[in-house]
Amino acid sequence: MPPVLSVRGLSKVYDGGWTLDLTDADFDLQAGESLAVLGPSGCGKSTLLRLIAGLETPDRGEISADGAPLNGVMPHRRRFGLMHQDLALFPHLNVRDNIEFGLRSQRWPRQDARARVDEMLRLMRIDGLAHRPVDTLSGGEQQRVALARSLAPRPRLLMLDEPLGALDRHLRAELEREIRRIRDHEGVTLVYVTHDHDEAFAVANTVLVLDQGRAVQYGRPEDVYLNPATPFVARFLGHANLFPCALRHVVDGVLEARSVFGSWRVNAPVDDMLSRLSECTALIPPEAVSLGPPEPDAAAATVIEATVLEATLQGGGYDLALDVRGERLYARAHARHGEGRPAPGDVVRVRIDEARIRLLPWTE
Amino acid sequence: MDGPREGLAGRGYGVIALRRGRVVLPLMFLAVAFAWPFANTVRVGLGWGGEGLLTPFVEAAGDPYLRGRFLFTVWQAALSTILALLFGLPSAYVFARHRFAGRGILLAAITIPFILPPIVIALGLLSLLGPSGVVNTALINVFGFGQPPVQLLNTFAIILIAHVVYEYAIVVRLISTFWANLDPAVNEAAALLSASPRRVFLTVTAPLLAPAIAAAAALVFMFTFTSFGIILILGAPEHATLEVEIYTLMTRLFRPQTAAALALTQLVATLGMLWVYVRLQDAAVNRIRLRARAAAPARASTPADYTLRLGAVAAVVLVLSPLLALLLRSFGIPGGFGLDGYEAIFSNARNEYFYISPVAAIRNSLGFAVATVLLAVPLGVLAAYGLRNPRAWWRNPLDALYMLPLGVSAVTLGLGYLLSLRVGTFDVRTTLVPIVLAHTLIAYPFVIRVVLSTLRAMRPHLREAASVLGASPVRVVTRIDLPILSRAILVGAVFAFAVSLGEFGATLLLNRPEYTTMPVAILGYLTRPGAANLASALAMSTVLMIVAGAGFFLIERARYRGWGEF
Repeated sequence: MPPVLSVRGLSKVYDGGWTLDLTDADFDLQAGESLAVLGPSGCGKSTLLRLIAGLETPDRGEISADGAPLNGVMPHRRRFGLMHQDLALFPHLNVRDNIEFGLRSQRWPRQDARARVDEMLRLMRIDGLAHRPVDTLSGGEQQRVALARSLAPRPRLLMLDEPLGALDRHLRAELEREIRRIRDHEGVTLVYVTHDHDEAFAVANTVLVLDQGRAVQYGRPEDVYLNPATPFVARFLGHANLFPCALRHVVDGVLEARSVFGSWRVNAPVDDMLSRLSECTALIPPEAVSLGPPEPDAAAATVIEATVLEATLQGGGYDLALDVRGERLYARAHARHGEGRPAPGDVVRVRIDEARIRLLPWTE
Repeated sequence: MDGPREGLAGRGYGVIALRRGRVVLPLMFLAVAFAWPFANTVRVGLGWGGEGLLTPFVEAAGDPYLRGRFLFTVWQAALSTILALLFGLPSAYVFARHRFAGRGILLAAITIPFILPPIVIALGLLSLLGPSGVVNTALINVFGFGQPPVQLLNTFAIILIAHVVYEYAIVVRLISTFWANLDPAVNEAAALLSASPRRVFLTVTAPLLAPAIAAAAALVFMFTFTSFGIILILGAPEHATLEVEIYTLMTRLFRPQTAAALALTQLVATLGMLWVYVRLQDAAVNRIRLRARAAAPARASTPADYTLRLGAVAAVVLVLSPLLALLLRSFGIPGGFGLDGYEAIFSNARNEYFYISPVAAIRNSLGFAVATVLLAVPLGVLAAYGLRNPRAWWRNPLDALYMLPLGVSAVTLGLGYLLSLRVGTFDVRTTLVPIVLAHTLIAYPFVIRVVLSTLRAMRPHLREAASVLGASPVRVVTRIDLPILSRAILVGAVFAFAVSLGEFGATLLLNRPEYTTMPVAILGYLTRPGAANLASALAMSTVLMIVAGAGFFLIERARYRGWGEF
């Protein structure tokens, strides 16, 4: 089966010189897969959606669906679904007519259209709102109507542009679950645009990270998170602990890394590129940092003293900003009953699990 | 959200012809209906190809009578503006800062005179203050005067009164809108800094309000500067404004060069005023934080408050009284009751020579109004689409160009047509075309304004969403654009209809007996002697008032917001 969506060598230059350049980032999307397009505001996420939807024409490259090229195919003949960030609900139609709009446009028989709308209303749990004007709905309800509307005509591909953007945190979590439920129920192929990595990882099985109109990384969420391709990706995914580090060959195939926290042997197999470098960046994921004395069976760990700069309660623990020999290290500590909050100036012992440190082949 | 690309939305689809047409067609219309007559007026007025460049100007400037006309025009406009401000400002304050039962209705009611044709206002004042008007009849009945005690007809005073009645709405609505939107927190802050209420007004409110007041003044000055119907009907020959003089020079004295020279002089003044108005209004808007906290409405508490409120109600009654008088007089009240006037206008009884058939006038007016709607609405909608993209560099100049006809007086427009519309041996002036073009030119800027503000308020992605859902370009227009714009289009159509019905100056210049419209017929009846003719004039004015009033009622019902700010 040809992929539902296939993008090859895509690029477009805009009036101000702003460019979306995906010429070196071809990708395919198989039926039932979900792709998250992740990046900061202005990175080109929405533009990519508009190109796929046919609302804009690429200068170069080809988009095809189910093996057939889409060049020159007008948006209304593509049978894609797109949920705009501002929802774009039709203000002159009620909820039912909004959802039915695509079905009528695609000439569904009246009976089938009615049945499908009823199904959508039930699926999105908005049965009671069918005859309400859309401008009387709450933000969450509008979101559901918009989702139902884009889903109703069974699009080959559903694109969601920051679908949870305008909602408060509580509603976001709820609707995110809802989107996953509906994705599985309808078996829909999904492109999900967001600037929130948690959202992207929760919904998608592939992630495409964009920065300033270029693709910087493409892969499984786990890989992208653990092995960010650039400092930009690392920081964008929430990594705060990135430190310069020097490499030295000890024996063939074994490296010693030296940073402000001390030096350690890199035991993991070292790839070619890394072995030719003398400088790189150490990425210390939060789960590699812990506070307190070393446990007896602990793996090789660096233990250092650090001064607390700031401690904020976040969920069930503290987010700590620590000072280690002039460098800033971020760590998590569990909040325990009866223990006070670490205070600025406290000296704590920090353990860094060496095996979990990632060496990334770039320097800042 | 991603970057500056909204304007490119939908490139590569849509009806290409329509895309070009939305700029090209309005421009073509402007070229024919505006630029060409305008160019001819300039040519004739400057004496191009005639006796010599600027000869008409030199002659006009050397004529003490015409100099007098110019000075009188300025003088009466200035005096009218000052009086309208004095009369309207207290009401503006009350409507801005007080909430009371019937406020909305009163606010709508004061606008009625402004949307009526000036000729109706003139007839209203005639009915109220004329020799056989309501006031004189009442005084005679009560006190037994031998002759009408109020002798205002053909005086300067009645012209000023008519102007105040007519312009009161602009002063009140413009200024009260800004006043109501002034952030009360600013006043409160000043008060907390120990300023007395009087000091708060002088040092905070007044400076903030000044641009709005000045903008209203500029608009009132512009309107009264080109006053025509009111002066023609209520004034004496020595009250002729430039506008009236252009009409006389062209139709009675056949001096097109001098008429054109005066028209250009007037044009410079009105366009200058329009420019001042636009600048001042921008300044006024910049000074207020729109949609700040809703201005705390004051409930009347002090005797001064009650006095002000009572004064505002009295002002509204005064402003509306001519209309009521017109209605009464058209039925012969006071002094009896009769439908003579109405019978006369709905029958063609008389067989006088030069008799203006009222039925024909009504039919002609309706015909021109329908033609105007059919032309102005599509043009206005197209032009509004062309102005939709706020980022295009040409948007503001184009918008200004579309609005330019508003700064040209009706008689000047008619003059331009008289000077232009001859193509080869074919005289377009003998056809219906010039009247329809003139009415459309005056009406379509309003259509642009109402449609454009709805288009701007439309969420940007509705059409794209419809398209992605499978709607063809045609279906996008019929199912998304038109339903959403329908109310604005209706408002624009009603407006165009009302403008065409009431248009007087240009129509009078372009008039031919077989195309006589209602306002022209009213003037015709008035200039003929006899009670029957007066009754016909009053009845027809009342019909005009009711039709235009009904149109205004429809517009207000459509609750089109923003129109109240002109």
